[in-house]
Amino acid sequence: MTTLDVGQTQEDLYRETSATFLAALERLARAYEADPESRRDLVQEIHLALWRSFEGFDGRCSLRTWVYRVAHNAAASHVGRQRKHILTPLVSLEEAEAARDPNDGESAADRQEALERLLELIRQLKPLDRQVIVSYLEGLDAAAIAEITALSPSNVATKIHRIKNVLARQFHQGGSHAE
Amino acid sequence: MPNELPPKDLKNVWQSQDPEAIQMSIDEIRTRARNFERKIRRRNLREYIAAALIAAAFTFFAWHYSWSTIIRVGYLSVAAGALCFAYELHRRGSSRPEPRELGTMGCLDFHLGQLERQRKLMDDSWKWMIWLIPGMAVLMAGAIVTVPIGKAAPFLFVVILWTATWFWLMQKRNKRKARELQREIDELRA
Repeated sequence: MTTLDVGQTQEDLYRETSATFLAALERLARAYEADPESRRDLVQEIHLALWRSFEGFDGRCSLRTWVYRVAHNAAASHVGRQRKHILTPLVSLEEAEAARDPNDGESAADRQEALERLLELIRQLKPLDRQVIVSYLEGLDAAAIAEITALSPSNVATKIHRIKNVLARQFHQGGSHAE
Repeated sequence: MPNELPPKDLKNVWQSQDPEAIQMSIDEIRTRARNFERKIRRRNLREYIAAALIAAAFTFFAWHYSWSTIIRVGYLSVAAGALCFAYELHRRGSSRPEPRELGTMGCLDFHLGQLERQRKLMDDSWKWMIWLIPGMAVLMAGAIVTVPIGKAAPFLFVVILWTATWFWLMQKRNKRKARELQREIDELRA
């Protein structure tokens, strides 16, 4: 986990996090924005939000938690603004779990197809469920996800269980594969 | 390859995405931060200027085109209402989260805060629209008092009907949106 050194400036913090989390922030933006041009804007928006937020960083939480909170909150605001023009409703994990798999009978042939299907699934989820699934895929544990999202650990555990079910159904692998 | 399963570990698929490496230099980020602040200042300035122009125009009418005291009061009320309306709009715009709140608030709290803000905006929309009503009402009253009622009646009827319908439809739409947002808030809090 990234820790705070006493006396780190806004610039130090930004340099450190933009180097450490560069790829993770791009993946996070992909979960929110399908259009490459808008996604580029979103990544830059997240970087700007991080820079501005570091003025108030007091080390009460880990740098990793801070970065993910800022990135998810900035991305959710971005999507909220974009969605005013889009009519397709977002669904919860429960609804995604109950819905019929649109790719029923087909398996994802390769990694790229699996990734595209995964992104398609994530982008139709409501903000909090999207934040939990992205954090889960980033390899964060339930405690870290609870800290980022402010959901209770039991709620996160339930959501992760649902995520595994949804992923297993979507990818025809049985629960164990989507661990 | 119909029977070939996707890679076993979806986390691995997720984490091994090719990065586009959209990186920003410190100078670039500083410039963007300055531009962002400038954009906000310009937006505020535009709002102040628009409100000041409307207020100035109606004050000018009150001074030069009022054929009675009541009409003058009406124009001045519209000018004051425009300033109050602009203030409410500014207050609404400035209730955006502070940069550090993005990091101090967990996603649930942040999301709830955003929804609450939108719900309040919808619920309270009459509070900022209502500032325009007194001035318009006084102007209409002035027209009734100073112009022969036979001549003014059709015009007043259309204006009152149009204004009332517009307010009613806006209120109805905003209340419906506020209820939808409240349902979402309740679901998240459950």
